[in-house]
Amino acid sequence: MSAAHRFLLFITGRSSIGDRALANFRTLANTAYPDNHELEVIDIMRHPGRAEEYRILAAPTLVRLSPGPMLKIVGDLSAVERLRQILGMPEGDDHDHA
Amino acid sequence: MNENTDALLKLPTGIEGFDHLTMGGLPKGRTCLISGSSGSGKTILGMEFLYRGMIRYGRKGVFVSMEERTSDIMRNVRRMGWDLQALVKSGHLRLLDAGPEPIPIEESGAYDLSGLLVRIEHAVEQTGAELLVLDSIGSLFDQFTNAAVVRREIFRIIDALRNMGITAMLTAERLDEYGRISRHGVEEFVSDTVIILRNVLKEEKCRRTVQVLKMRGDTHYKGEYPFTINAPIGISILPLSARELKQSSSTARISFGNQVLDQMAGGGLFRDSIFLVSGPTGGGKTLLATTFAAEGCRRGEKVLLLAYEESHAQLLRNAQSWGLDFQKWEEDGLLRVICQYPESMGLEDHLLLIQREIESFRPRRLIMDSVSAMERVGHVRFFREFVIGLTSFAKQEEVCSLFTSTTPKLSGGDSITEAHISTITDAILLLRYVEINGILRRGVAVIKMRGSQHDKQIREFTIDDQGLHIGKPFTNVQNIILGIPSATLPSEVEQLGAMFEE
Repeated sequence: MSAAHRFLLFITGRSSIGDRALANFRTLANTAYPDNHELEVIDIMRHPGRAEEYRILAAPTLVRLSPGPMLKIVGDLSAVERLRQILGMPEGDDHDHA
Repeated sequence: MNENTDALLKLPTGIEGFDHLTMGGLPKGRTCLISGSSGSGKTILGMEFLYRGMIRYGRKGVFVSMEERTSDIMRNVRRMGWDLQALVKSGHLRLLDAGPEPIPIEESGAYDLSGLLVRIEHAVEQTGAELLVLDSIGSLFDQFTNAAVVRREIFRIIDALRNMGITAMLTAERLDEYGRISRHGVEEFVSDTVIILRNVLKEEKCRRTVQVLKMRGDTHYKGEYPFTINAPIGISILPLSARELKQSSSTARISFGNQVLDQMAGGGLFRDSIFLVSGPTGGGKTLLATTFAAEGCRRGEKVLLLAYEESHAQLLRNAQSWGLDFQKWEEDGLLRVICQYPESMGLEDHLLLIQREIESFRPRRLIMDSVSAMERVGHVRFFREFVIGLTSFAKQEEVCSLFTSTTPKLSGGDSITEAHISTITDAILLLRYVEINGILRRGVAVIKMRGSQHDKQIREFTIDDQGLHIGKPFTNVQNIILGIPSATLPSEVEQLGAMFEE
């Protein structure tokens, strides 16, 4: 059974910027979509074909597969408020849970 | 790194005129910048660089499209007769789609463009490419907001291309034809070679030009060179004066088709010469041209006749009236007549068409009746370039060419054509009306014959149903050439006669 929120994260090898993006995504997703999200991390150095398939130019790039429509977010996801806006989450949502 | 020896190696592109302009092609293993306004032909140039490289030299290449969809590009160049699909199938060509997408792309935090870099490296590795085109880098500035990052990443891509030994073209937009080199100042990164394409509207005619702005540590032709884009040749850069440097000069002579004229010219025309016939309307230019053509056909030489003032039927009728069967020569494949309105296309296109005809028909004689009709088509400067381009091509191919030029006034006088092309031609023949005692007569004179002696006298000529007859020199008039003939007093005639007795 696939989760309601599915994402791909394209990163370049073991890079600090890629690690940062992954950490930032985890923090956000664990609070916003606990137990209801899937993430596949793709190293474009090892899988350039996948980068081709999704026409990736920048790294890191987060691709939201579902819910649709498809969405691409470029960057290390450090601008959290911007990320929430893009993903359509209410502002400061995690404060309510805290 | 062998920086110095690398810089001297050039990679021929196979694009017509381009390798000549760049004196050998693009610096091998380097990236050059092609900058031009929208619609200036950047994408076609890039695509042709790959296509010719593949078709002619068996090279492999990658095209990174950042503006148009690759499927659109494939369709667009099909009208050129370029089958990219087949090249993709045979593994010579790889097209990368890297343009803006219909889905939203957002930014959150820091990023680089290693996705693009990895895809390029991957495509180069898989195909074994030597060539790459990235069209256009300006699009990256539109797709990503952080210009500093984009600049840094372009630099990184160029560096990677150089390390892989790729000869690449990067295209960039510019807003003004004569303003900044490129919109985002990208020429600062790609400083080895910068080529500018222009598409300028001047006097209601579009004119495409290419200019090699710089080519580090190397020589190339400077200035703007006109080019055309046509199927199936693609880009064709007109060499103009560059070709003049390597003309052979023939000493073999050929006949005008009139014995007296041959004598006047010191024994006939040189086989590779360019010969201008100037005269007022009705002055016998077309007859002279027809005589010249007929002589060629009679000797079994192929003749190409370009008519810009008369229709095909009219031309045949004229020849018929002088007892010349042009139709038969046409059927025999000796004569090729092309009638066209000068205004039907631009000068570059005319030149290209003539060059194609010369290449395919391989004539020994070329007649252009009249070259002055071309003055109407474009700016004087372009007209001069057209004539230079035509004459240098004709010389290179050793085609003896006769151009006619119509003088604006019945009595003669200067015309634009003469002012601009008389120095280019090897021989000039003037036809003039001479009024003597209220009767209009015709005079002919050779006023220039490069590399040979010629008759300095002005002779009378007549036209009848047999054609052209050249008679005796005028002895009692002067100023015929200046267009204001006047009778001279007997005493003066004697004086002049004595002067020219030598």
